[in-house]
Amino acid sequence: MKQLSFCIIIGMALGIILQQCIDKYMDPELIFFGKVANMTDAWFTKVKNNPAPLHIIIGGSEIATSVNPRAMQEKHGITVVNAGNHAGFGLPGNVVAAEHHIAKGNHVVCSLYPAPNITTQGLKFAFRQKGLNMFSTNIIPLNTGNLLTVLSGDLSANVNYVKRQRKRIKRGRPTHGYMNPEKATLHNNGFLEIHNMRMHEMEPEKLYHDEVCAATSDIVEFCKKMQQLCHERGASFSVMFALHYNSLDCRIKHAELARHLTVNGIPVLKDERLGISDDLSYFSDTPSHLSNKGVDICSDIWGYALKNRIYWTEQELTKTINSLGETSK
Amino acid sequence: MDFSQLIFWRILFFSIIFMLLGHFALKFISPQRRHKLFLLVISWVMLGTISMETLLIFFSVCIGAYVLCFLQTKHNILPPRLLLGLMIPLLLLPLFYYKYADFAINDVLGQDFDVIRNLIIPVGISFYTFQVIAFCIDTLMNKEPIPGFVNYMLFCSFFPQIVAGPIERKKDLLPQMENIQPGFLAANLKTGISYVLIGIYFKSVLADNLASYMVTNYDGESAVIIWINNVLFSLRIYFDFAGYGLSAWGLAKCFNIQLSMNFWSPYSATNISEFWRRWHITLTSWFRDYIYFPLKGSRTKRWWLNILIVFLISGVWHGAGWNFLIWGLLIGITMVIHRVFAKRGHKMPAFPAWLLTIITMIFIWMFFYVTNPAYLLQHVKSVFDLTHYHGSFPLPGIKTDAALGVIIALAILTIVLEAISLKRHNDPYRIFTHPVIIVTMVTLMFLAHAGEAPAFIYFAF
Repeated sequence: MKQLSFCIIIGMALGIILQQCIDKYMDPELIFFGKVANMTDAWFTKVKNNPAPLHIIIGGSEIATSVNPRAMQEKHGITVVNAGNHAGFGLPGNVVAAEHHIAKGNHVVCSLYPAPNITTQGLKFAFRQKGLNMFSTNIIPLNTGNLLTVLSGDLSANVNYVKRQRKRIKRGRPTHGYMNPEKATLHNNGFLEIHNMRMHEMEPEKLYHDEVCAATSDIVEFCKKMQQLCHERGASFSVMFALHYNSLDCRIKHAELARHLTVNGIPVLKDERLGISDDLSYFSDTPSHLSNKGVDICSDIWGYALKNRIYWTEQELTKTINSLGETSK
Repeated sequence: MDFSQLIFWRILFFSIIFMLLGHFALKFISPQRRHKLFLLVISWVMLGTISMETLLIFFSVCIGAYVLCFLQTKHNILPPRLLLGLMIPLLLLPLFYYKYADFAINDVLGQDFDVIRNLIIPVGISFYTFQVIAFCIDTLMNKEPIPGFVNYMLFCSFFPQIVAGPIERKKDLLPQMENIQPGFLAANLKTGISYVLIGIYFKSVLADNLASYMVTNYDGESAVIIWINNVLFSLRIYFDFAGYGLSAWGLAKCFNIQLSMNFWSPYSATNISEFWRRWHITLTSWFRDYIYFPLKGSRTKRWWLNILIVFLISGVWHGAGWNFLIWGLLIGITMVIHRVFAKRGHKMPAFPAWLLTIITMIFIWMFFYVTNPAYLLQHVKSVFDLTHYHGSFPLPGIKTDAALGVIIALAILTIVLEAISLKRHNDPYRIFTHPVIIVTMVTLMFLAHAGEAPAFIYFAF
């Protein structure tokens, strides 16, 4: 009996110590990603058997902080999974994190936002992040193919990454303020409510910049690949602009991108704002993270668009581009 | 009575405190009687915490059976066979109503009675009903004396085994209840706690993690995903149910009761008959003694039909649905095929025989977990259609991360250890009581528990 008690105590102590070590030496941002991914997965498991089609919204923190699935369910009666990521991985990285949700019958919507980081740099970064945590059961999933990508990647980049991580871990806090629990509330459906309203005190003009999601061949190619992937898995695919703070003049660039995508057979969900707003009260701590007011507006816009599946047509976009051009003149 | 949940251990802890205090307060009662009374109270409290309805149904089945057996033994009211013919359907009535009425009336007969749709099956009803029926048959057919009410109720409601077995027999459990040793014995506590830990390790570390990777409600489009799901479920159901059985065994041992082992390392079996002799042993032997043998077993030309009947009933016992019927039928067919080969003296080498058994069972489990008939049909079509073996990694809708590989490797290692233990100690689980393995299991419970876990699968039966 003494031996058994000793074994149990040793086992417990070992378990606690190892867990503490893992927690201590785990990147605080990864802990946060893992938490968000678990919440999203739990919500997905809860709603995936609903008879209505499932709308999977893939994107970065601009989605995680702006789409409230519960509000959309209550107001529009649609079932939404907010698969927004929080890492600046770029579109490909965001897709990696959410790809296990792309399944038959689902409607996958990819959010387009400024600086979508289409290059594989973001993707490699995402893989590396996950690769380093492959043995934890509570992480964003890393599939075998991705694991091989990480392992076969160049060693020096991985070593540099680990060095950077060490510094970050030493500091013990995530880089982004909103990843700290006191500055944001993570809801049980993956939606992140930000409490920091820094944007409200900023001078509007200083926040304007030219960085918008422009019509590049990278984006079209990426969207086509996504469409193909969804098609293979029996899911439908479309894109939509996430709400972003900028001068209204920038909408013309989004309209051009939308037309470019539409011409190439990528359906773009219709939203007259084209993802641009100059109302600071809609935003919280960054030009792409929304305040509660912004979340209400955005959830309503997205909810309506997803429910009714109204897409832009080429003619409508040409007309919009013309009228926006007139206005800016 | 979910051993993997903290709430169970909290209730048990406070019950034991209450029990120890009661020992001082009720000194006028003999220690053995006190022990029995406390066990009864704990069992009923545990059952009552699930729901009062569950407790009332349990009482009605157990007390009803006791009263009829009592009247028969004292006053010989009817010929035993006739009485059993009346009693058994009566005892099965709650089970039929909660478990089968919806399927039989709405699905099979095509009626539309909303009141019987989606009824919540009282926890453990299939287990204690079968235990009580076996008690009645043994008592009445063998003209055995009726036990005292307290001993009988303890036999029926002993909390470690009431909700998911093992289905105990009168001759095995009742004498232990009658002569129960009060208090706690160090040797029994040591063995008992070790087995409880093994059970929790099976459930929390293996079964629950495997469950989290399964694609639920899968429509059966990709054969690759189907096979992954089949493998995951085959491992999961074993570690889930065996985990419960081992914890129940260990807990009973702590209270100085020796329950039957429900599993004997089934995945190391080298043929299908052996597999079923090692899987859910108490249910298989129940069917053997109370259905197969009365049908004359293998001493008739229709032995194959007897096997099919037994496994069809076994399928129905597991659940109301076409999939369970097909599942039972398939097991029956594979058993008959194996028997025919064995009778002709054919014998395969051990490894191919083991592989064939495993693959057969992995395939057959598909009929157990896919309950939607349309999906099940698609699953069967996809498995036998080579065009459905497509798909590059990553597979849609399924997480195939490195952690899954670690969990599967751990599960396989556990099965290998069972086989080694069986060979060395003639007990598949004894190896897990080794101090190093205990330390490893406890460490893993902290590191790799699956978080919010699903209930034991067999609670649904």
